[in-house]
Amino acid sequence: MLILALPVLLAATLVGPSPGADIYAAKCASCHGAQASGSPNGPSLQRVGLADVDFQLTTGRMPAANPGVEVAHRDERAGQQLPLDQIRALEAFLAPVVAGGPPIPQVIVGPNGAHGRDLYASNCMACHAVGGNGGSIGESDWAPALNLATINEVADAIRAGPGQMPRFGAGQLSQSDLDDLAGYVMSLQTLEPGAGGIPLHSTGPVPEGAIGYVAIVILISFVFGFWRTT
Amino acid sequence: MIVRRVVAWADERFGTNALLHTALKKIYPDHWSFYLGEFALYFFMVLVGTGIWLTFAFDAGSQGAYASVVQLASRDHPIGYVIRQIHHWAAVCFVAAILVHMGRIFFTGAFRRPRELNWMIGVTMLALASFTGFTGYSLPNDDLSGTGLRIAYSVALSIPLIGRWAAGVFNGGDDFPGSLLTTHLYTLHVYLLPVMIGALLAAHLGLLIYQKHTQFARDERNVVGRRFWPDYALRTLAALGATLAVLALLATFFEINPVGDYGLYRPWLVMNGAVPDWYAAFLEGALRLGPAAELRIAGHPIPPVFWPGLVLPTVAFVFLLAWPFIEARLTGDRAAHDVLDRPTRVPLRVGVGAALIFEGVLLTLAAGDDQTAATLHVRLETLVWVYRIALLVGPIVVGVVAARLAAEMRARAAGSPAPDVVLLVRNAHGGYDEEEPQAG
Amino acid sequence: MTIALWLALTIAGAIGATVAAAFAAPPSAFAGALAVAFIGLAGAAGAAAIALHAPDDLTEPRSAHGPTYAPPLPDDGRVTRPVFGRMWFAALGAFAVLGLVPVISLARKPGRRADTGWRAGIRLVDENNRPIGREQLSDGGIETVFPAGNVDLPQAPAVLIRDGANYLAFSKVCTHAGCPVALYRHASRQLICPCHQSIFDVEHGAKNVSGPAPRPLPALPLGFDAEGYLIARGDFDAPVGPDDWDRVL
Repeated sequence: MLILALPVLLAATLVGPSPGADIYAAKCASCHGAQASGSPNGPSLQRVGLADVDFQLTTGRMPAANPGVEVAHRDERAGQQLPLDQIRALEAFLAPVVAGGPPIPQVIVGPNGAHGRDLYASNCMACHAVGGNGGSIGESDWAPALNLATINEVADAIRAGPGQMPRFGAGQLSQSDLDDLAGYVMSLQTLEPGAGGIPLHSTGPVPEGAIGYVAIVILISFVFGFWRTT
Repeated sequence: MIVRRVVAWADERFGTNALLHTALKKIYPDHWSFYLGEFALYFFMVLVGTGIWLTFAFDAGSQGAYASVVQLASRDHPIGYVIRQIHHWAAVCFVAAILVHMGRIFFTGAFRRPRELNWMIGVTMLALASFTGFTGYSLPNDDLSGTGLRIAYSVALSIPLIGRWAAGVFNGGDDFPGSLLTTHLYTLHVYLLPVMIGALLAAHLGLLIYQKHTQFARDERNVVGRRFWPDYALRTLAALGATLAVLALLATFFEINPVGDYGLYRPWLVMNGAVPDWYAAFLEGALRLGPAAELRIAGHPIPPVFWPGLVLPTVAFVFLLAWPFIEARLTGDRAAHDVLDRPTRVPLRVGVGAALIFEGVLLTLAAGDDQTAATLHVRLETLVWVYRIALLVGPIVVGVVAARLAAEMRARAAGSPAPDVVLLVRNAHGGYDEEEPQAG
Repeated sequence: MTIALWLALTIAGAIGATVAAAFAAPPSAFAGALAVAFIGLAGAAGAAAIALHAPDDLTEPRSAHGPTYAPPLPDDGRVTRPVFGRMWFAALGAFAVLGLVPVISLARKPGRRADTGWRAGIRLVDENNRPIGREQLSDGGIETVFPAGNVDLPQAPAVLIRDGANYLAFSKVCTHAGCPVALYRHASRQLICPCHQSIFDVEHGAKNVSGPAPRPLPALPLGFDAEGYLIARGDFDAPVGPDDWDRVL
């Protein structure tokens, strides 16, 4: 039986392309080019590093439905579009192409939350704002809110610097720095109650001012209603 | 019983019965819009009360300021937390109440002779309230307010001839931030500014009592309304209760100014979305829209922040201050008035008021232009130009349209036919047809 | 009757707030009880006012406006010698000018040629005073740097950017209003100040290409020392931060 099966197996490995190559041809090549060298619709993937590839795929930014349209604007996790096994297959296929850039980092939740907060203030707050709420970064672009990211997506983004985001390599943020910083970002997601007991955190002076005016409107309604009834 | 004895005791020594009698039987005109000034007054009283408490919790030396405020934000200090939250909410609502009250005064013409001085006192108090708020929320030395202080310092620096001196007064003479900055802010916020507001407030209320409150048309020569005791006293007590209730509800449900999240101020750290509290946002918007041109006079630079940061608010302030006299000159109406206008009676005033409101709202919106651009998927530069054009053209359009509308409403109110008049016309078949009566 | 109900609410709220405070309940419990108490107060006062059925058309006369009185000075109190009258005003004016003295002496001008801390040979360090090595930053990376030994000088902070094999450093103090220019759009090679959205083009000497900043960000010339750490080769090439009247260029 094995003797009969052997030629079939050999044929499959020699003749058929790998699953990653199939997926790439079907979903990526139209914009990134058959050789992953780019096209008018999409950038080259040469030497971008697996961290960037993993980030784009796991957050669901890629594959992009429309080339040239900013994917997942204000992305709070557009949702993985590809199942995990296909992502892994793509990464295996692209590994030789993208080599030279940052690899997929290891990360765990670091022990030092205070250090993570300091790192966040120094490196992230200017774009991602306080509490990971995200914000505008000029033109019509957006540094996304971080409340739905997984720890791996956060670590990928830090190491890869996708899109307009700068790249924070191991020389600048060591592995323990990365763990602490990613851990801090994860801690922002647990909506622990503010000291007031009700988790309606302020997101800044803008909503505070709006609520102040609502309060005035409530007061005016009170006196108006009261005056009308007498 | 006790009250009667206390009153008698006082009267024997100070002769207070006559004064009390006059005060308690005084007549107050009653309209819902007359309570707006009271809201502002009550917010101010809450600010002073909670503020005095906070001076005992706050460490006014620059080193300890941040830590002392963060302590109030922790679960270990629930009373302090509530007092601080009420204090900041009261500040946000105080300026809003002043602005709405000022709007009522403006659109009903209550500022006309003989009340021009009271108007000017009120406009000054609006400016002082804004300064007090700004210095107050800058006291904790957190990253958000520290960024705002840096900008204010640059605006002070931009004044021609005396810029460096003015900035030096602000923070003690060193380069920003300087070691005396928090101390100076404390002096301003806790002592100088509230005393100035208090003094002006006393004058404001004193003038109001002496000149008597204006009223909507019922009687030219008499004040018509309700007796203070017990009628109006109960109503104003209800307004006080409502004010306090609103503040307590805000403190219950909405966290304000979480300085623990912002972190201590460091000159090289900044957060995205750094904007001031709402009442200073119009200046932030003006700074964003202002052109980048730096003029030079004999080699001396006049930095671009000077025009939107200082000239604009000064011109606006002076214009508001002088409005009673400007309007009197433009309408030719220099008579004394105790009766309020229906807002549409003076279209010029409606137009100017609408234009001013438009400018203020536009500049406030411009303070978030980066977020607006990103949300609407437009380039920021494009949006900035749209705002700039709207800033120059908008008030003229809005003012003219508003004035026209007011004039039309005034004309319709004056010349409308009686609603139950109908014209019946005999037609050819012997029946009657209804026709619209001709406008008289 | 309703007044009594409102007052009962007020009392309940006040007692509740006191109890909440005594038992160190969370702040929103305390504030919520306060709110109940004040709502009760407003309701009670309002209900009482309504129950009064007091008339709203009571009158009292207004005072007349306009010049109603004789001039305020009594006849025998007039100052009749105009010369002395005018000199009093002169004295007042002189005191007014003198009064400027304590005001002016409130401050001395800050030295705006303030030390930035940068000089030739000084190492770049991060905020923990560690020097920056050749491979510390990745391509497309950005870090805030300070002159070694002088992390606290307010005009010192700079941003260090690696663009391919090039290192670039610019002052982090925005030339518009002094906010830190901390936002870096790495793909567009643009530094943005988050306060008023001034945009600086990193590949063209941080030139101000958009927004209200009037001047480019001053550049810091860089080099490497013998151990391979980044050093400055001089001070910034232009004054740091926003200008002022006395900064004649």
